[in-house]
Amino acid sequence: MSDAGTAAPLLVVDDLVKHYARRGGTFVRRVVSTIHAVCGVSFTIGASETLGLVGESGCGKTTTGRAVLQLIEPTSGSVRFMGQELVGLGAGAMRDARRQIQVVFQDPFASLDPRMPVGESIAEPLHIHGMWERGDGRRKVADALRLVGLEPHHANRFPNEFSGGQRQRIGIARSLILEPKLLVLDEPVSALDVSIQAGVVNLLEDLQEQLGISYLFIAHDLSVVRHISDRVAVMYLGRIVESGTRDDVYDRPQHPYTQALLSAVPVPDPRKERSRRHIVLEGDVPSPEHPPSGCRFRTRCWKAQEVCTDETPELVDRGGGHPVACHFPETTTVV
Amino acid sequence: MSETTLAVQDLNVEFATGEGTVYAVRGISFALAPEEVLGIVGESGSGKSVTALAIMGLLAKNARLTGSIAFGDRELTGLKEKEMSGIRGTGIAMVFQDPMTSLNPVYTVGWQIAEAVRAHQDVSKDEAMARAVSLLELVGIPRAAERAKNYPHEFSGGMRQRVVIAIAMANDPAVILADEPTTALDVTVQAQVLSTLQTALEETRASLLLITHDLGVIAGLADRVLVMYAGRPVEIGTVEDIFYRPAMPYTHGLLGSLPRLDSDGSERLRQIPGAPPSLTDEPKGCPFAPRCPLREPLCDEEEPALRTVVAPEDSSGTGPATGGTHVAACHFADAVADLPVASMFSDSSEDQEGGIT
Amino acid sequence: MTDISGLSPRQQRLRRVGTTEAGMHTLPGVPPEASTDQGDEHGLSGEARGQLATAARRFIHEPLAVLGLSIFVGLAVAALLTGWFWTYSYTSITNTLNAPPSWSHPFGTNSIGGDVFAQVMHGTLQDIEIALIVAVLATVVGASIGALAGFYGGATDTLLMRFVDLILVIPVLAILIVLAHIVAKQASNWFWLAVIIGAVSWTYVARLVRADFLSLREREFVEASRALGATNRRIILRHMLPNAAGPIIVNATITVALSIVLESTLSYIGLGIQPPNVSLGLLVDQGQDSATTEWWLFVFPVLFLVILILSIFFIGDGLREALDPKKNRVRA
Repeated sequence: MSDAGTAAPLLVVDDLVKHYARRGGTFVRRVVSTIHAVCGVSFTIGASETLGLVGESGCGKTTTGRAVLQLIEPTSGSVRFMGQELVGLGAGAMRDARRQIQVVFQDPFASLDPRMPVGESIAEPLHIHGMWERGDGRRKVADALRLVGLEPHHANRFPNEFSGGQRQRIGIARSLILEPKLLVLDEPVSALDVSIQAGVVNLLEDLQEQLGISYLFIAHDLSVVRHISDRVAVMYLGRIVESGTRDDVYDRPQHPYTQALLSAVPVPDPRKERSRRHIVLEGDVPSPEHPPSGCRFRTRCWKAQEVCTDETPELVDRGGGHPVACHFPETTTVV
Repeated sequence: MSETTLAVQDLNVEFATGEGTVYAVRGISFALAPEEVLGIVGESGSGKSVTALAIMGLLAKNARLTGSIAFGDRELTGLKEKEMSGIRGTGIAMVFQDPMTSLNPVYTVGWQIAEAVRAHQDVSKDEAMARAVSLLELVGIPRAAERAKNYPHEFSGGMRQRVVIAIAMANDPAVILADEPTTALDVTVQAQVLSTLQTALEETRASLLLITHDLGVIAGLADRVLVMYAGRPVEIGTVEDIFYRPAMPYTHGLLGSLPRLDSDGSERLRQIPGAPPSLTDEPKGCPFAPRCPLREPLCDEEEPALRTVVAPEDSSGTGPATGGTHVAACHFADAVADLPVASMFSDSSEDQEGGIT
Repeated sequence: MTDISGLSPRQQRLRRVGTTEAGMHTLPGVPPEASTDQGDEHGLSGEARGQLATAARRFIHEPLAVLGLSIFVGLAVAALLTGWFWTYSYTSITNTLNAPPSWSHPFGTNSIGGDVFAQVMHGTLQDIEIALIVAVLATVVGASIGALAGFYGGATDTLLMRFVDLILVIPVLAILIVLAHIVAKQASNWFWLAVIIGAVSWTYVARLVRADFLSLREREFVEASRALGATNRRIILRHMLPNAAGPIIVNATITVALSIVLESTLSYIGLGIQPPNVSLGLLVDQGQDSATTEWWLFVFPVLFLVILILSIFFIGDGLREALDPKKNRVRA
């Protein structure tokens, strides 16, 4: 499925930071507080591989995705795609870069313009980048539709004539028509019924194999992520706490949060589910406006010591075989 | 003295709407034993939530209900609202998906629990508040005495759900009815709430009617499972029966479409082709037939009743258990039960949904 | 697209159209396809429908809307034809004074011998002309300002909206009265009247469009277009305007109706259309004193005024129903 990244990586994200300033006041809008959405996230994605970015609400994974795409402007940090720095890139050059990085959104009902026939939506990238030619363009749209399992004659239909899974396929077709190298998928199947999810997940897998495309797969559903990813990064409160190959993270998690997260996911297998270890965390996720000092997970961690408050653990390999950001990592199986 | 805490017999619910009659629930029967967890599973539109509302007497005015709902030796259908509200909260307690539908935003959490206690028990305000605080501790709210004075909006989603469970526990109900209690929650929060639910069951010795679409949650909690499709039950059995020896193709399909946390990623997921039927038609034959890969002419002619599934020949103790009857609404249930799970469904990536009515 | 002919059978399956796979296990004698009941295997039936065509079809199915449209068009055509072919024009003066309706004067005559029928017809035409100009002006100006404010937000929005507030704060009728007084004596008075009414009517449209754009801006398909690299211009013109078009069009019809009412009000107080030109409002004003005695001088203008306005409202209602994309939804 994947090329183990011996060639230069396709995407290199280095120390990405995004802070939102919350302003209050009536006449003069002072900055009341800062929301630390993403705080120093770094990862790479190679050709033809899938990186799963997982975490719960508020962990910053969606913001990271948007920042990589430059749909929101990073506060600081670097995003290098195929060697080119995207942060701070001018509008024209960014538009060119967008030919190679595309996105699929979560909501299949909202991400298509309801007033445009789907063929036009799919063709839009061609128009935007000046690559539309009458006959050739139509053929490309037809090919794209077939690629995602639909029919060329569906191009004249409107989004509301399709069901959720079909719309998501159309969104995928649109993102693929320029043959990008990297696809950022933000919760692409979360809004679909489980039995429909299966078809779309299968489609994404097949497309990767067929087109050699890379995915940044952002999701909260750990089971889906396991299914489709080659490598995985776990986020908590704006930071990556653990990353590695898929089996590293799922079978040999070292970080207490990863362990708690994995143990909390219910497995549809009664014997397995009842014999597993289930870690139940205390308390709530702290607010991103006031993240804890040092290790951000320490307020809910059963291992927390003084050093966790004083020193922020770096994301490095501490002997476990893959990077983990914890002062007291310990490999345990919880799946 | 009946052994059954809650017995539903041939319940049918119809809604008269502008566009015709919607047959939301078509003939469901089940029995809930004391201290048992029954999971009702189905996708959206399967009728599971309507069943819950019917039991609680919370259906809309345009609903027509037939059948019997026996709570202990009391018949719930046809009860006046006043009598029904006497049962809600004491006999049968509810936990809904959105905690804010059960919690009043203008009263403190402690006050609401205390009110629930005083509504059905004759105790003083102080005693009730003390019980409220102890319940908050029980459900794992830290600094319970302080937090009893907070308002619902000052709690996170998971905590609010725990408060709802505390209210549900307040009067030692015989049945707790939970409708998608963890669906909107993050997975670690879900774990907290489910653990709280289990605590509640242990403390109150209540039975649990757990309604959800999440098979993982069912696998962890349920003793028995009822699978619903298009308003009717299509398979009922122990949790082992349902997960390891499903006898109805729809159950196979549900199981086969789930990605597993413990899989190595090499198994392909399986789709169920087509889409659920509209609830305004009363189909002839099996409602799942249009989507069933094993469809035969008989399936279109005659609607299968729930028939008992034969236990496997092998009884060496390593096969699936049969602690109770296993029934499935399929003409070929026995054969289907012997097939590997979900093997009859395709693992392609093609669009098989269909769509326009 | 990449050529995949050399790929494995499983991968080539992606290209094959129309077959469903049933997998390995089947019961004996069972055909492996699961079929859906209608249309192709995706469930979609044969014809495609354009947005305009769909809207037109739905419009036609609303009886009131069709009635409104027929009446409106009927009135316009009748007015034009009357102007060209009727024996009398609206300025003609005959010798029959204050005559009740008869064959030669279907709506009777007024105190100076003018033919009421010709006058009512011309009045209708005049009102329609004014209304259309107002609608175009108000919609174009209002929509542009609203779109810019809604799309760009921030300082642009604040500035534009304060400007709108300014206009709204001043009593419309007062402005109109003052302005109308100034242009009242001009020959092409009706045109300027229309312009003035338009100039104060656009604010409503602007607010509406701004609200629409503000919410559209957050919609995911706009973000998706941006992610594809679309320029702002493209997003506004190709995505947001068509989506806001429904409310804009409906609002335009309301503006049309209201402008007629406004003009009638002005004429009623003597500041609208001036004689010898006529409008329905003016006729009503002139005829009100005789309402009990020479009823035809009052009743017919009022009747036509009401019918005209109602027909426009019906059209507006029908358009709103027809253009609502939510009605098409197949399944949630």
